[in-house]
Amino acid sequence: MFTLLSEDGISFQAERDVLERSVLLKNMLEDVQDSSNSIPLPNVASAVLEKVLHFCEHHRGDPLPVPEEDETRMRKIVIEDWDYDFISANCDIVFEIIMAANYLDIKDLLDLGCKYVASLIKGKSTEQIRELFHIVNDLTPEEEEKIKKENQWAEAV
Amino acid sequence: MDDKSTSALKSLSLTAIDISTQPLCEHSQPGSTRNLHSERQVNSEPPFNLPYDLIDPILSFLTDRADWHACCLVSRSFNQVSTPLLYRTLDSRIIKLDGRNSRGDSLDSRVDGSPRPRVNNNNSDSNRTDSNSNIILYHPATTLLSNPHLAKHVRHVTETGAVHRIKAFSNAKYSSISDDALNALALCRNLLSFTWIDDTMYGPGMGAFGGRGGLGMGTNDRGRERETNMQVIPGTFLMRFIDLVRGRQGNGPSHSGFPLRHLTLRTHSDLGSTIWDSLGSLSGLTRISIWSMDGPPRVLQGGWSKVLGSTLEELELGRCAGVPPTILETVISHLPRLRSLRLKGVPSSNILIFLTYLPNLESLDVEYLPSQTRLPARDVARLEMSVMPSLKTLTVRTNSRAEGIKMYDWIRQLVKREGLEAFKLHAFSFSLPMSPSSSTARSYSSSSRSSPASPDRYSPHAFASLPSTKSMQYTYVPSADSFRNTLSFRDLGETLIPRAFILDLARIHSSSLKRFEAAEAGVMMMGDVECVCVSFPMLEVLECAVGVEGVPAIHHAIRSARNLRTLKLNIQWFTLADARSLMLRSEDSVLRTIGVGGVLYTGKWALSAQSSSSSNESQLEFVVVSNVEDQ
Repeated sequence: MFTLLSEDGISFQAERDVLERSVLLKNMLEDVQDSSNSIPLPNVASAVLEKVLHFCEHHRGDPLPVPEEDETRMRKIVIEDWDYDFISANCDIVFEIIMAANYLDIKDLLDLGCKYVASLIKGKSTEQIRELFHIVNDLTPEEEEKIKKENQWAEAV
Repeated sequence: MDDKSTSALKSLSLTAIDISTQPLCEHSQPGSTRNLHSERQVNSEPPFNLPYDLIDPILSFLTDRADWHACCLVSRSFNQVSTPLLYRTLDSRIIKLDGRNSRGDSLDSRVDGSPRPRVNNNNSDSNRTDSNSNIILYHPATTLLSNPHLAKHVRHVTETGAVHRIKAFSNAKYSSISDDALNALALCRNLLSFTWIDDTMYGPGMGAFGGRGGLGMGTNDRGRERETNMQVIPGTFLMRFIDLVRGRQGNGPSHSGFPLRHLTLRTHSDLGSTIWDSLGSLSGLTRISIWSMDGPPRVLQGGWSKVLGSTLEELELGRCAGVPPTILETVISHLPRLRSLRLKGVPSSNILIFLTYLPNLESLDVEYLPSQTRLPARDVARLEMSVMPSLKTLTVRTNSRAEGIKMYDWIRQLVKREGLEAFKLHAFSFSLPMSPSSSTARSYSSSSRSSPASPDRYSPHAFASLPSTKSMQYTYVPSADSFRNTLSFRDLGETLIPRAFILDLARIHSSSLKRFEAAEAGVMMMGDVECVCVSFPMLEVLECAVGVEGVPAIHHAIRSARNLRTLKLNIQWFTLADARSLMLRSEDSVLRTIGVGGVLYTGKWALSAQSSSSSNESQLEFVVVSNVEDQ
């Protein structure tokens, strides 16, 4: 058993094979048999860490994802049922989860979060995407016109 | 690529959830309804403050050009990230305006089949309506030439013959398109894949250069010939492109060539030997697909296979009929790195020999074409002494019924080594024999299938997505009585998939096979379906034609297929309730997709808003929806 300490001082306990879903933690634990000292994670809040550990626990024992060997191959955009439920239930902190997955180097969680947010974008118009993320359009009308003209070949309506 | 209709995995393209308007949640666990509030809080607010660093990893998971196109206009940071993604894949299209109502009519075949663009006359130089002919060309060349920095993002380009023929339709408007496109291509130093589609039908003997040497395409004054032919013959563009790839651009700075890896050629007419000879010097390719429907078959003979031997991993040859097997064998023997091979028009016994040269082959897609001649003793010996590859995917296409038993023997030889994950059997012109008792066959429908006009339609996906009424799906629905008593192997002729074949397959591939798709290959008895389900415990996708009535029989037959996600049956009776009952057949059922005839049923756990005033709570419900498979 190992203890993790979140940004806001909450400690979480987890077993080695759960923590080793994270490449960062796997490397940290490499030379450690067992530890009474907790591992501080100053970049991850407890609410996020809890979800991350939940994910890692569910996937303990799964084969670790391999990096895509060929960037031209279309990336698989499928989400397993459990993963979809997990990420959509936590969609209010999905960006925090992605950031934590990036920091802890948990590739399958990072990809899951990104795929989920991509699924929110899919099929939306420019205006709808702005609304979705509360983005203020900082393009000038001239810039917009230029982009529209340049990309007209790709226009699909 | 997975057929999304046959996977119950949630595909993002199917489940784009708009959380800003609808707190929709899905749940995979069994149970008919469940109080959601006790389990989780669902936030109906969209997430705020998308960090800049996340934009790129997120947008790179999009796959549809329209989404990147929309993202380019969201904001400056979105534009920075999505523009490179948008310019990874380029193609073009021609829109023919229909006078008053501006209805677009695409002249060329757009590969991705996306909807035609709105006709938009906002004064883009490259895309203005030609007043004489009402033709608009949408082509990215102009943009690339004026924004050369975009070219480094380009990885995939599709050019069509129609675009380079457009001069004939539009007077002078697009007279420079071929030059512009080539100049733009010359900038794309990271180009990985190039696709050439030309459905031009030349007259007899007219190759891309006007016949096989007929117009005297001498090597001396190639340049001048090119100029004149360019006016009418789009194949010239291809020739110039090949020169470009080989680093021999005529009128520009010396060019070191592209890292081109994939080449796809789809032409109705012969490209002519000049182009083929030129292609034969292209090296470094890892994937080649050739469907050239006229002229002598081109199978990388004449040295190209040797050039490609150290790199080529995927090969598709759409027309091999008439090529002497020894030539093909030589070609294949040069390509030991092949992982994926698709051939059309090769006698079956020769395919066995080819496999002995391909230790790395994982995916094979071939026809069953029984040959009249026996294999020479040398080949028989070679077959016995060689180790066959361990195939993961095997697709067999056949239009022969009489050779059924022999075909299954042949298939057994193809997959001698363990590890097969997907077995697909396509049978195109099967005709089911009428049973002696006419009552057995209550429904028997078939429709003739014209031979595909466009090579694209040879793709397995194209076949799979044809609506059942137009494809040659045969529906055979015996009555329940006949199912029990009268149907026999003899009644059905050889269209039955032999039980012994299933068992033999299982002996070797029991622990690996996940997909068994044989809906068009003949009727399976429910006992055989059961046999498949028992024999292949990993089975996720099952497609078959069955003679059965009643859901209980299906329940029974598939009861041991715990991993089954997709089931496709050729039967004519079926209801939403039947689909629901099968999907929820057990606590741990993962069956979520059922296709029957042309209708696809998909099931999922979803949150339903209770409209009754008594409660605001939402319930999880299992929802089954059906739609026409191919809209």
